[in-house]
Amino acid sequence: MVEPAAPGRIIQYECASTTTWAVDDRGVIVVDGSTGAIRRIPHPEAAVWALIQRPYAWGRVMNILSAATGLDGAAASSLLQRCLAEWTAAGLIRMTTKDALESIAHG
Amino acid sequence: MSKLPDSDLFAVPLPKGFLLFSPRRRLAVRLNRQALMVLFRIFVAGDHPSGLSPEMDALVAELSQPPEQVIPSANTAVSPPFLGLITTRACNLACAYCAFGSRTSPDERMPLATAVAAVDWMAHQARRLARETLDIHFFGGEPFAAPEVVDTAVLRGRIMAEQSGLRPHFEASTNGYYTADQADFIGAYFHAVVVSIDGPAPVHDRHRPAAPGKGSFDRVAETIQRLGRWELKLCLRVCVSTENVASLEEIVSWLGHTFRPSVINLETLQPTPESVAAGLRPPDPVEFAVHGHRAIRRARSQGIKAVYSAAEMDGPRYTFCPVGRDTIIVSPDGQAASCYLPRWEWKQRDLTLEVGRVDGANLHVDSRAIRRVRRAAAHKPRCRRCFCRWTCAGGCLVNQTWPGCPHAYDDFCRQTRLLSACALLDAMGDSAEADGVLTDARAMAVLAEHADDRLENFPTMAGGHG
Repeated sequence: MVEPAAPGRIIQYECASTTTWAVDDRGVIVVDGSTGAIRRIPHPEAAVWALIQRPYAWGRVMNILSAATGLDGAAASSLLQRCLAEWTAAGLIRMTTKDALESIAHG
Repeated sequence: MSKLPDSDLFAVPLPKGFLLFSPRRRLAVRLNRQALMVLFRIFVAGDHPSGLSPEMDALVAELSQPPEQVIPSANTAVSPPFLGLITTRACNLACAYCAFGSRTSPDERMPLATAVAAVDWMAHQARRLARETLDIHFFGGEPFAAPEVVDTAVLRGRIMAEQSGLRPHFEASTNGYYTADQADFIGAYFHAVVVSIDGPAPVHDRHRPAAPGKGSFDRVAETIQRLGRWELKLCLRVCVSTENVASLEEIVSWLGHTFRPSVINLETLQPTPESVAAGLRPPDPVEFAVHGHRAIRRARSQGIKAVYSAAEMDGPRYTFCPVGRDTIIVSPDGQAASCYLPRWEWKQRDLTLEVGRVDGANLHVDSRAIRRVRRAAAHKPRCRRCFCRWTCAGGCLVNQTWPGCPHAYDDFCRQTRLLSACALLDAMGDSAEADGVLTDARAMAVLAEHADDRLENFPTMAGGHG
């Protein structure tokens, strides 16, 4: 998932290199390879996990998340922000700032 | 002994004798003319011959059991096996034979709210029917050409499944022409996927170009390789034309070794104005049967199931496809129908397959319309005398057995009759007789064209004299 940052720059969220994950019926199971910790992400947070793995822009993520969870825009945004902050702090995902053109060039 | 009240006893002419087939009793046995005449006397003429052998006595007893009731009764509750979502009718390939009108379809994508309404309806149905799974199948066009619709439906489906105590189950039919990221999403979230690949690059790119002069093979092969790393049922669909029929065994063997799919599905090209313009033609039905049967056996020797879906012998059925099985398939415009073909295709056959509509946040389904479609799918006059009536079940209602279609067999019927008889013989462990059929031009002609296989017609039957 990407979102605009400073002019010509974007923020990109992606899995940390030590994170592996798998989908099961009740959500997503995430393993932090650096500590060996196993964590279950339930619904609807599992929908956020799915969407940050995708090459979508912020607005598109919000549209899908709001539709899939039935949350209004503000509630969906709040859910997304909370998950990003929590998972970044836990080291499961990482936030990088990239040149927008570079990001496009790499798909 | 009473006469059989229905046509569930068929006598299929073989080079040596006949194949007695009772699809709704799941019984097939090879018999000679004398034995069949005894069965004719018992079940058609109503005689009571004495002095039958123990084997004939046992067979008569088995045939005297009532056949399985396959067609739901008129008051059977509506029970959709899955929800179909056509996320878009647009496609990112330019297949020379496309029968789905993708090249002329507008780039219309299903609104996310429509997908959500349909998923919610299906979750409610699955709960009402005490199902274990919430089944959603994605079709196109190319369904992943509208990835945000797929993502929404998948994520909504997973949430609704958990709330309803169901397991989510997602399937898709796809061209495989997209990025590695898209393939990984499918691998992570889907349970079965059908990818179209028609052979190695030369034939695949001739059939399925990305654009004029630009092939799609390399990217599709990468996708299949990538999907193969995930835990999902991988099915490869091969469209067979005059271009690839002669090398079908080699193609199936190559697909099996290269991609290790769960299933390889062989289907013949359905002619369209586009395929005619591209110089692509369906294979000769006899040539397809010969090469198709060998290809199916070749795959079996590799531990892979290959099928020609009209000749699958898994059990009796009254309809070939989702049509008539209460299936709800929602189009991008919110129409709910039993068929995934564009509305104009079934309208031109005077068929009404529309069964509902998404209106705002709700999918409304008309159960009377569903029952009407059931009746249409079960009533196929062309099939009444054919031994494949309860296995092929008439193929596509729109393109093969529409109301008012000619009663004479077409090439689809001919190849299906040949492959069905050989599948039965193989299943009985009588592969030598199947080989005998497929190497005997006269036997194939008799079997393919035999107009009435019903036991009641047996005394007038030719063939089976060997």
